[in-house]
Amino acid sequence: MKILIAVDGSRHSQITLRLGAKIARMTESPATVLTIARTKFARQECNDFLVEVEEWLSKESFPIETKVRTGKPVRQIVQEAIEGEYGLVILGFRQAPSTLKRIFGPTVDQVVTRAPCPVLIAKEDKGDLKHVLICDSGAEGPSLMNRFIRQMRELVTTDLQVSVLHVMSQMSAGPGVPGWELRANAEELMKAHTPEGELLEQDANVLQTSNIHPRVVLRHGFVVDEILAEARMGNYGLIAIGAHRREGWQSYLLDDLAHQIIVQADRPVLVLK
Amino acid sequence: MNDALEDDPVEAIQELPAAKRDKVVSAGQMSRRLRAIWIRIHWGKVALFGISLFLFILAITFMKNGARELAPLVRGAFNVSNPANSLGFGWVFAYLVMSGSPVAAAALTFLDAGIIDTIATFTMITGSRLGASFIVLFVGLVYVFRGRNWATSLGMGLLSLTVTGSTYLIGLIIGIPLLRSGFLEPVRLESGMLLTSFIEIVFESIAAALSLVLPGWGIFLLGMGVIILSFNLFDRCLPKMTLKESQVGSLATFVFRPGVMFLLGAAVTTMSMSVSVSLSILVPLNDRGFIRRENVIPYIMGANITTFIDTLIASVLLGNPHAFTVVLAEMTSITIVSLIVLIIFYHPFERAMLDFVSWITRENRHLYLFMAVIIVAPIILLFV
Repeated sequence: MKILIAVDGSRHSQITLRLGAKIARMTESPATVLTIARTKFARQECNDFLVEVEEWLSKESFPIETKVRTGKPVRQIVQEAIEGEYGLVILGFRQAPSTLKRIFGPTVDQVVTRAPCPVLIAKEDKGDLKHVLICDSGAEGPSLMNRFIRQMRELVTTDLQVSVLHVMSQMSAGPGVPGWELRANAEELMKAHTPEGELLEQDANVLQTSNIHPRVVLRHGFVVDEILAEARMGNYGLIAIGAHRREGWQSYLLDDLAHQIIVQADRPVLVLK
Repeated sequence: MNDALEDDPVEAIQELPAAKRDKVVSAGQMSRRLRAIWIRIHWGKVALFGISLFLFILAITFMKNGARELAPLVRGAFNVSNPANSLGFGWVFAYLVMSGSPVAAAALTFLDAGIIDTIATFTMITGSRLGASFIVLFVGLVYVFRGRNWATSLGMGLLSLTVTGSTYLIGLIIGIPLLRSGFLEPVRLESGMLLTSFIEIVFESIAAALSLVLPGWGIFLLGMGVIILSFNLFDRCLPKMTLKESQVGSLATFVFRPGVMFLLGAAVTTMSMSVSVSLSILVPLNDRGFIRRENVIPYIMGANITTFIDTLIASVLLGNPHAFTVVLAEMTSITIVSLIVLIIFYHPFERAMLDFVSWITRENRHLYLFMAVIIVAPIILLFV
């Protein structure tokens, strides 16, 4: 798996580089550090920054390649990911500085949408990266687990600890609804073969084919809140979510929960494609 | 050409030039579609709608004619003399008639009769909505007494009441100055001359005939009864939305943007004119009667604005421009509050509402305390 680490020289670049180095070492993958010069006049500044990066990473005894591209960051990162056939893009997260950019989507969102491979959003290192929380909404069936195994196969080793989380944000729509499922735990739902129970069971089966024995977790509440709470409580090193590539009417009408998780999470978020 | 079509329509059509042939074919398709629509119309429900509309106008006319004689009762016995009293009065009144819309219509007729002023009318209508939210909770309580789980049975009713209560009470802060400023007075909507004459000839004649045998307060009470009947009939005109039939409910599997659910709630309630009916429409298709937490709050907020449509129609039928301004101020203030919440602090508001509901349902004593507060609060307001 080739790794592309995109940095912009900001304070967050240190976090991104540190996480990129850690992942590259864990998976024994070659990495390229990319920085984007918005104009050709800014290239020299970018080259100087990359020299510093090379020095810093050489102390970590970690071989890297560096690259500067000129143009719009999103387009250049995506273009590099496609041309270089990378298996993972790592980039830092910064809250969009302008309201306009918040409305039209910050760089991270646009890269997540357009990148051909999984995108890892770097945040403060909170724990072991081999302790992963995979959040399955059920919208994609077992394909999310398959994608995790296929796209992150270098990470999938016997010491990988995975928890599969499904959040039931439903509540009773009116009186007279039995609704025992709204209070049940994962085991109860799996035993009763409810849609959520079957989803968790399917997920567990898929992961077990790769010798991963996941813990299944079910929480009740707001989707984003519960994912973040579980990540904190379980002290996971990585949150993995699916990127819902909404098209047409859905992109205008549906809420972007992936974006909310990326913004609010206090630890790295892996967006599977 | 018509003769030819009657002799052998298929052959005749095939002989026509291409452009004309397409027109004839599309006319045929249109005719078939219209026939299909004609067959699908539930004429019984259309008739019921006509009857409920007739009764609604009749009820407003009765209440308008009978309200004047209620002045001593409203001012004296119920002591409705300030905005707080009228808020409590509308609230308690809605509890008693188990509905908000008839009370809101009554508030407008009190204004028309000069019993209460515009501010008191505004707060009485607000009170009527608060009382009406309790009805949803009341239905939940019935299930609780039948042994259902607290949290499940009461969740939606409590949420509806909490969202309505918080937005309407904040709406008072915006609505009263808005009303006092006279900013909305230039906005007018009046019933046409034809409708006014029709009302005068038909409905006023019935009211005048009744006034010969009934006292004013009796005509008002009859009007209240007729308006409740008209709303019940109107509910029956609506297509019955059950677990299997609700097409809107199938959307409940997704998490929508709050603004989308807000507009949907407003649109569905415009058609159904009832928050409880529009909430039932949200029940998912072929599902288990669940709805996503993320979707429901903005939906209730949207529904809370357009639920005033029937009151707005009542104000137009009354022909009192101040009554129209009061309802418009009510809708405007709730819209402003809802938009501020949606745009600025939607997620904290959403969490606060759900946290409050889960606190109430966590322990029986919390629920009893909450019930005591919402029953006692309007009574205290009556005596302020």
